[in-house]
Amino acid sequence: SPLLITATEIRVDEPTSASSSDPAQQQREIAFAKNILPSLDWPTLLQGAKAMGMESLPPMVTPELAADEGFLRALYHVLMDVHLVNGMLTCPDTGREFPVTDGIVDVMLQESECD
Amino acid sequence: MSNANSSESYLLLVEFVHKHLDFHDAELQSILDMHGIVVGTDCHFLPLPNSDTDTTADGDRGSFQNHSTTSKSKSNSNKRPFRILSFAWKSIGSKYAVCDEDPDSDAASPTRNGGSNDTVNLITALARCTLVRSVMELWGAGPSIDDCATSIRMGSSLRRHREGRHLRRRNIGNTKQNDSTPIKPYPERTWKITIHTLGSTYTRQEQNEMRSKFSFLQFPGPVQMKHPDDEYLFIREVELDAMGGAVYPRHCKGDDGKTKKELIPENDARPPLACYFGRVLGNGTLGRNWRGSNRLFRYSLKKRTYLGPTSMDSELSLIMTNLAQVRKGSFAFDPFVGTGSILLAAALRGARAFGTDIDLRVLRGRSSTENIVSNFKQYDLPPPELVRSDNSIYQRHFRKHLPLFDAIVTDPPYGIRAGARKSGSRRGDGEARPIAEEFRYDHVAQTRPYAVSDVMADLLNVAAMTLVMGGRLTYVIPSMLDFDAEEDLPRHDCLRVVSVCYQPLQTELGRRTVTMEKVKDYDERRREEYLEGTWVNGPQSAEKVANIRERLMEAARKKPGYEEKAAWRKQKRKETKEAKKRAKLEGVGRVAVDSECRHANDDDGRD
Repeated sequence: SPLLITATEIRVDEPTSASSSDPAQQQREIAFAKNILPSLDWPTLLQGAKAMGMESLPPMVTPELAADEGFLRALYHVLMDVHLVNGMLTCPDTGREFPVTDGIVDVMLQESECD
Repeated sequence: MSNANSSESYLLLVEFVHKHLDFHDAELQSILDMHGIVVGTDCHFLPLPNSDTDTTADGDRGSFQNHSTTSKSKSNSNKRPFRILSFAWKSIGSKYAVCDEDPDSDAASPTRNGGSNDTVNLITALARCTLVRSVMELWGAGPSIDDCATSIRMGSSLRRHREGRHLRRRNIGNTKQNDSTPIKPYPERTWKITIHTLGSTYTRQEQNEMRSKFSFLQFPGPVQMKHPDDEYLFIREVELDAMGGAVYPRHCKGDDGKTKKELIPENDARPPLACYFGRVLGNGTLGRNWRGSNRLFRYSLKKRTYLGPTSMDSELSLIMTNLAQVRKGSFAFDPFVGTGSILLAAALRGARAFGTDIDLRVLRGRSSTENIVSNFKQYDLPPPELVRSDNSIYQRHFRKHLPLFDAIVTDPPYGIRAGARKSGSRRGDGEARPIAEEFRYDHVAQTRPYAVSDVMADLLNVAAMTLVMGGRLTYVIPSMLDFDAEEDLPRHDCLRVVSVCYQPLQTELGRRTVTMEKVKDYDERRREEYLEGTWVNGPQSAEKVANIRERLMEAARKKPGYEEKAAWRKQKRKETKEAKKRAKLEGVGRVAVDSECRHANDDDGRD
């Protein structure tokens, strides 16, 4: 099951005016979002985004949306510019917690959990 | 070269730099393939003049499996730094463009699923090759300057250039083929002829004699030495040794190592290996020295704030991103990210980066201003995603069956520098102490040594699991000369070997950069089978890699740049130690004296 996010500190990178008007950068963002869209588990993403304070994603991705450049750029922003700086990822089934510190997620398992 | 300039073909001469010899073809083919250019179909490799010494003239198929013999270093010194590419003439100006475009433009940027009808700009494509020094439109070639001139006369290049159809700059964003910016008319174009003599120097007069052989071309426009419209290039190729110097130098060196201008007559009388004449491509945007124009020095390790003993040299990192076909907007992964130097190269290619490592200290870096992320910030790149995890149990950390990555580029730990680790108690009895609840997430899981055979088996399996179909894994593996790529390379049923490139470090020691491509879907039920099948010859192949730790350390110490890195680290440790000592001995009240001492230290010549 997807890990639950508890966010203590979030950082949102706002695109600089230079990069948001740079067509090459826009194309990169659209290409990335388009590329990764098929791999995304949308309900999980919605849940995670909500925990990070982002409520702007649509409940479902229609084919029209998937081809819309504005949507793709917004998706890129949510995926790549919103960072969990400090917080916790928690497994809803076992309660196991994985800390996030200074942007780095630590998913190391204990000795007893290893094979 | 009797078929040199048949009216059907358009020829390019690619000149390589004289390093990483074994990588030239692999990188070139990888880039061509990335742009949808299939060697053997869309273009062909033609043999160079006097090519009985060229071991790779038959390389249309690029049979890289052959590049694994123990005499690799020997055959490399015979490898010539040129490639002739032949395209169908009718495809130039339509399917392929050779006019100058903004090199950063995305107009010709390749996408994995691009069954695009977009024109591919050959200059933009080839400019991405780290090892390409220059590219020219080949007008003539032969085993002597006269043969070269004759082959120009017999060919169509001059006529084509006068017509200039293929020179027209395509209007970006315009789909109509005929709509293009007109270029400067032929009679007005300024020009010059550059003479490039490999490994030898010629006087100005001698060079002008060479130029005069091409005066029959009768270019109408004025000669202009700086930034002419057309730069023509005459190349005189001779045999080169491993260091890039002439095997039969024209002049002998004086005792002081400097060249004394004394001719060695028997060397001077030797005929060249080949003579080439053509027009430099990318002249407007790249100049003749493409590598200088790529400004690779910007990314050199020297300038980076966060370095470690395992930082991959930036050139090899960039080459790896080419071998792995890292594209703009793609997702690149390094499971052993270390200081992030390879991921940085991937980000420079426009990919978003994801890195994991088992060592939290390395991930966090030395401070908030000296870490992986600060390196990325230094080059104005979006930060990588970093996760501390254990690659040997990747499937326990992350969602299964998720082909996510377009490229995996990595330098795995072989127990050689970083001391490969994986989770689990050092106590071999399998008993682990349970940790009290309140301490759980602060506890640093113990790690134990990670056998090389397992490192590779896990890496290939993770690659098979997480790469998209057609995605590539590029990794580095140290090896002795007794390493046979056919038998000793790790294998996986879902991956095929694309290329193996050898880089000598010492006489018997080197490293191989291996590229594999995912060709089959991963089947979770076959997991054990995949892992068992990694080593064709059994784990003793892996041991060949594991037992060279000390010798690699030796080789690293001899490498340029190592001294600097080691000295810098030593200096830093000294400074930290002294600062700690001072803070201990002197209390708060003596801060003023402390800073005086520090200033005094600054004056003793240390910069």
